[in-house]
Amino acid sequence: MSLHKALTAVIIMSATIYFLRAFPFLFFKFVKPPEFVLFIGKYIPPVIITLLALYSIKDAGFFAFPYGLNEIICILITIGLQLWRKNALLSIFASTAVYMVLIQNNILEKIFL
Amino acid sequence: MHQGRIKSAFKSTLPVLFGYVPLGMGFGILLTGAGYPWYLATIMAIIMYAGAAQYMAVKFFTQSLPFYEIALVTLFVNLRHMVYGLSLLDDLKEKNIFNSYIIFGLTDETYAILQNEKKENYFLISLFNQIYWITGCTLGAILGQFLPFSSEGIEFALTSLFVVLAVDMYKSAKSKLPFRIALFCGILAYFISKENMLILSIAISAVILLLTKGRLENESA
Repeated sequence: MSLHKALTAVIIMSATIYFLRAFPFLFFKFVKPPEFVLFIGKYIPPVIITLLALYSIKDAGFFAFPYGLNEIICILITIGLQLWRKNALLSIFASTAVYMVLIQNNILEKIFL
Repeated sequence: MHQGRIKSAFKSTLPVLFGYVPLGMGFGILLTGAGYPWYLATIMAIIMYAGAAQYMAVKFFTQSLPFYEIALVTLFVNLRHMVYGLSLLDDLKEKNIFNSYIIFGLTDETYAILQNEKKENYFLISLFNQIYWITGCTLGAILGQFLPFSSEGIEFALTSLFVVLAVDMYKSAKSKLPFRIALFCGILAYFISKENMLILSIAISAVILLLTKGRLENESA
């Protein structure tokens, strides 16, 4: 695809994405949001955040060594640190650092295989 | 603008910085590798501002997909964003340029962070996150493969960010049911279709939330 066509595609995609993000605001400006919509809006944030966490490790490869253990270990570190020290940055940086060390050096492989 | 607010927005978004820069760089490398100029990466980060969709766009370009197909696939991949606004209808109901920008910048990560923030911080948080993204995309496109160290795995900061936000919400939630619903639906959707797992699990969760309405409202009262 030429650069010119690619730019057109970018504009089409951008408009689509902005439309989706703005849709609820546009739509419910004219229509009073029904009760079930407000109910979902109120209770869905924790659901979505949990789902985003799960989704972000979907490619971990749970059916072959290391069975997603790198991800599971580091998520447990995050949860543990967050409950213990209640410091979000600490929980995130410590677990990410451990994760990087684990996968860059294939640590689990060296221990178990 | 108040300096304390800038500081607080920076602190809240720091994990996103560590996720967006490497992810953005990955995109920039991919795009220039496909033969496009570096500034296209910057343009896309500014006007499109979407992670998965930008990565997919490179595939669309190289395969020269027809425009209607590009629009359809984009629509489907980003369908979840339609749900995000539902929780912010009230906060962003006033029509002004700040709110329009916040709506434009409602990525997964920004949406997640806003849930634990006060309304007056929304704009700066959205802006900071996009600046990180633009920086990452542009750097990747210009620098390409010349990285001095291996940053492999640094994107785990985003997983960790979602986990931290979930833990904080879990502790303050009166009803733990939404978390159990999410775990169940997430795993179920993973086995049904890994690639469409997000939109699938959000849809199933919304239905179950409605079915358990009575219990949820009781426990939260």
